Amino acid sequence: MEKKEFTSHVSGSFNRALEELFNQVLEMGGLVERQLASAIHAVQNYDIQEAREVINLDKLVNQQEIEIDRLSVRLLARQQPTASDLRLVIASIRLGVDLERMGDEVVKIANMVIQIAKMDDGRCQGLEGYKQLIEIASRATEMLQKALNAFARLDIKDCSSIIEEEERVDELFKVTTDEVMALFKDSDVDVVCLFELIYALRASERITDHARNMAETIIYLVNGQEMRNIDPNRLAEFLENIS
Amino acid sequence: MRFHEEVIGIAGLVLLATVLGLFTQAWGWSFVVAFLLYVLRNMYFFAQFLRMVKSPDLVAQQVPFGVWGDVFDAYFEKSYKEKRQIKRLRSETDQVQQAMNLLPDAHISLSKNFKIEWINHAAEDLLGLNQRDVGQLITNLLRQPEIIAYFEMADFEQSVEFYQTHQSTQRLSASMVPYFQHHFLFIVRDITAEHNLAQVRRDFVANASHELRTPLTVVTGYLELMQDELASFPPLWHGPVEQMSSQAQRMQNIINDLLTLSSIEADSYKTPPDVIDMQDVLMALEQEMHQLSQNEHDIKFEIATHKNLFGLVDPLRSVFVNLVSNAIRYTPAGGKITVRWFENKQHQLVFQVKDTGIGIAREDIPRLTERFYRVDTARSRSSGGTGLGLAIVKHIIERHQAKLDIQSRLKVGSTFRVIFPTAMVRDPA
Repeated sequence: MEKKEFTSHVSGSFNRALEELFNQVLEMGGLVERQLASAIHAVQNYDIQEAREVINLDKLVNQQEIEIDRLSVRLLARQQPTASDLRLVIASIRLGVDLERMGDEVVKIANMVIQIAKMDDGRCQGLEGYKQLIEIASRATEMLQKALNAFARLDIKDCSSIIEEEERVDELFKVTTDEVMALFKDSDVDVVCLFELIYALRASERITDHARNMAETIIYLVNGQEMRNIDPNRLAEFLENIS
Repeated sequence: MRFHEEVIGIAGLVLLATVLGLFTQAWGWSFVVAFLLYVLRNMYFFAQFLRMVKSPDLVAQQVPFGVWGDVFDAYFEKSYKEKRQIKRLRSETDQVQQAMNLLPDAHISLSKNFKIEWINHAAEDLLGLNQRDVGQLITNLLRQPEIIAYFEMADFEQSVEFYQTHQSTQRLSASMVPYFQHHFLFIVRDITAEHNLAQVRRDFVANASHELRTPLTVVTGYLELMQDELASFPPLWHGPVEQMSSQAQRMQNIINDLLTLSSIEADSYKTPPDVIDMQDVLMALEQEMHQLSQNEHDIKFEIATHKNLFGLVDPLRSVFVNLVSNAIRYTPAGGKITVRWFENKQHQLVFQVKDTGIGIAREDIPRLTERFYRVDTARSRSSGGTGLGLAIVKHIIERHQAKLDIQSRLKVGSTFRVIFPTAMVRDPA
């Protein structure tokens, strides 16, 4: 699929509807990008205000998902798209779902900030796992940005790096959870803090999973190839080809 | 012109027909044959000319005999001219393009639907775009909510500030300039340095004032105590204590003004804008000013309109107080001060303070609103000014999109006018 697609139809309203859908996905993406960036910032500064903003932004994100669904349904009903147009509609719905889930995960990170800040004696601050949390979340931001750029440009060059990055983050997550688990045995640290931290780590790891899903959806959109649940060897070969 | 060639050609054909007629005695047929030859030749060149015009590239060829030669010549000449023209235009566009690429700020040309038409090198570096992004909607690649809101609002008088990525510390400022029939130039500038500098200055002023205030409070506290117990000091110290406390008071005023200024700059007002009852404000102001002048001046208030302002009450009140108290300070005893509140012909509300004071020299007027700028240092200090009053006035007025107009003549007097935009005018309830 190429970018010219939106001007290739005889029907002007079809072109417009496709483009509107496309732009809507990217606008929603921009919001989630902001949400995630603010959440990282909030974690770094224990900033409740910013964490609350992240949670408020989520309402907007949810509305945007509904808007994407509405546009998709309208397109399906009125224009009966086929081939790449159909793939765009399907991909938009999927990306919308992934982005919305990401928004929910970011809210979990923001909640952790609020919970921790509420215990204002500072006993939760400066724990071992925060650095890794910020690390994973930052990587997630980058992956999301790459995925959205890939979608905007319909260019799957970067998609393989997103998928590889996700696998690296999985390992990092595993190591970090082990470290935090070890802290549980350490009687000095408050268990509530550790629980919050584990939730947030899990949430940021989930965000990278969604970013991977997005990359897969974009490959499906551009190439028409399905690559969910294919075996690792074929996946490696495939990634080699597209990058 | 090759009409003579054509005539020679026709004459040749007539001759051919005559010779043919003499030989065959079929005069009619001979002339028909000659005429057909003429027509066929014309049709041949017509077809060739058509092919030449239609072909994309220009092939030089032998110019035919007769008027067709003229036609071919004219066509060749015109084509060459056009070719040169195109070449010149292309080199000019290349030149402009190269110049655009050398510009340090990112320039993106947008169509009226905000689709990218071309970008320069700075845009590639600064914003991570590439040449293949031509045709994309700008907000698809710059997805910052600020940018999206900016394009949705479509108010391109203002600029918008944003960060490129979440990690980057580069502060960018973007503005839109309409150009060339419904096209836009989207210009993005790196303002990190300026942004930081302004921040540093603001922080410094705010912090320094706070730091100075604490020790000063201690000093003034003890000075007040000393003043109360003045009788227990030797008379030699009475004068110095008085002076110390008046100077400490002055310092306190300066610090308060600095803090006011930094809170205006930081946009931190306690109350939101509201409709201001100007009658109340001006009446209170009148009383306050009579007290300040201690009836040494002839102060007159003229309230010519009942319309009210929509804005921030306390900052605007301090604007009025500053302007009138300046007039009192710089007008010798017995002088006249007229304060007018009226609506001008453009339906803007105007607050005007006119005095018969010492006046301001022309070259000083533009610098009046600078911090600590004083026309006459000694005089200003002795009259208790902090040097920040007009700076505060200017900042508050800018916040309200109002205008400060100063007219003055040395030794004759000054007129200060604050002109509020019509958007701030409210009818009385």
